[in-house]
Amino acid sequence: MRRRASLVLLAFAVFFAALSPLIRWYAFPRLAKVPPSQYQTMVLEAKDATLLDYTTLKPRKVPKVSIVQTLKGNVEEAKKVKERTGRDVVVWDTLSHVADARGELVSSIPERYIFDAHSQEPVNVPGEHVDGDKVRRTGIEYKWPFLTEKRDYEYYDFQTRTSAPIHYKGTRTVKGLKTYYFEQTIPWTKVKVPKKLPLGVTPRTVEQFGLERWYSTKRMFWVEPTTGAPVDGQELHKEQMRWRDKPEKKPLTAFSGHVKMRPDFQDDAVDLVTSQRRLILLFTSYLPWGSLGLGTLLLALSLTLEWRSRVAPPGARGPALLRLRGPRSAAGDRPGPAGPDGPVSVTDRHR
Amino acid sequence: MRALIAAAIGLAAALAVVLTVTAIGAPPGETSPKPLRTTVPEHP
Repeated sequence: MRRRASLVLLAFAVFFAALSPLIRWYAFPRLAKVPPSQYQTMVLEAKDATLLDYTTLKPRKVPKVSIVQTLKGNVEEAKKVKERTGRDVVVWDTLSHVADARGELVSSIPERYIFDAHSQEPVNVPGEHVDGDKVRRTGIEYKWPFLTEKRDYEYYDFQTRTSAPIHYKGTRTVKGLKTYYFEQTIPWTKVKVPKKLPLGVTPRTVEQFGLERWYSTKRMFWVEPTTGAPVDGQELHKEQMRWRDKPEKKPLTAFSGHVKMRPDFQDDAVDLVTSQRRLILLFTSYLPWGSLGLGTLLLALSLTLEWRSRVAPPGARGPALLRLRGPRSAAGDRPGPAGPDGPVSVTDRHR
Repeated sequence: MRALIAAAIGLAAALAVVLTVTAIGAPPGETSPKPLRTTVPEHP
């Protein structure tokens, strides 16, 4: 009976011990993925910013500029890409809509970003675009991979349509969460004019004025490393309209401001990241370590039972001990009466 | 021998559980009917 119990315990010990690495190294990389149906809005604000007034072609100070970023997972497109490539992908249709303090349009840039749901690496397939222009992304955008490392990453800049390193600059705490701080500086670069501008201004109109758009930014992200999700983001963003072939003419400031996450949206992001973090830790830490501990405990129990069943011969513990003691009886350690084969123990007499 | 069989049963059960869970995976869900926002929302 004891031996059977130790075998059952051994089976459970192996089950839990094997579960530990299987969860961490097999299940986690396959189960941890960005859901393809995610819908998320983020609002960023730049207070006391400078904007170009397209009616007078003069920069003006405004109390606030809001940037509304929407990420919408396109499940149908993700399925089509999966059929074509065999990869688990997420297709995000995004819109970066910029509005002034009165809610009037400043610019609006749509994107389609297609990436691997597990690794967050871009997947280059037809349909990928920025403001309607076909692009081929390299590097991450919006989100870092799960279990973000303390190293530089390539980050895609949708204004320049190129990737550049975003540098790891250390660990910071944001609203009680440990984060990795990343920084990227994009030097002044000539970029495309957005197709949607106020007063019906188009890239062609801007070109006819003899202007071209230049942009520079310092991008900062505080990324929660377990989920790879930013819990804070800021930009020192500058845009200029420069006179084509007239370097002596003063450029017009099209936008200048310190863009920050709106506090209520940041709190919402922190809440979301905190809950998702627990889920990831369940697969990377709680379950693997818990099952390994349980497996070790069950193995110890199984070995103890096995050892005890080997030390004691079959039957109850009492008689066995008595038999080992040989000629001495249980009562008062006195020798029992002699039988035909020598002294008889108390146990033998009970048979 | 019996110990080996018990260990093999435990290992096979662990493999079966993990392979089944990963094969089932998570449902993809549906595309949100909400539009891409062109107004500044009051709250998240």
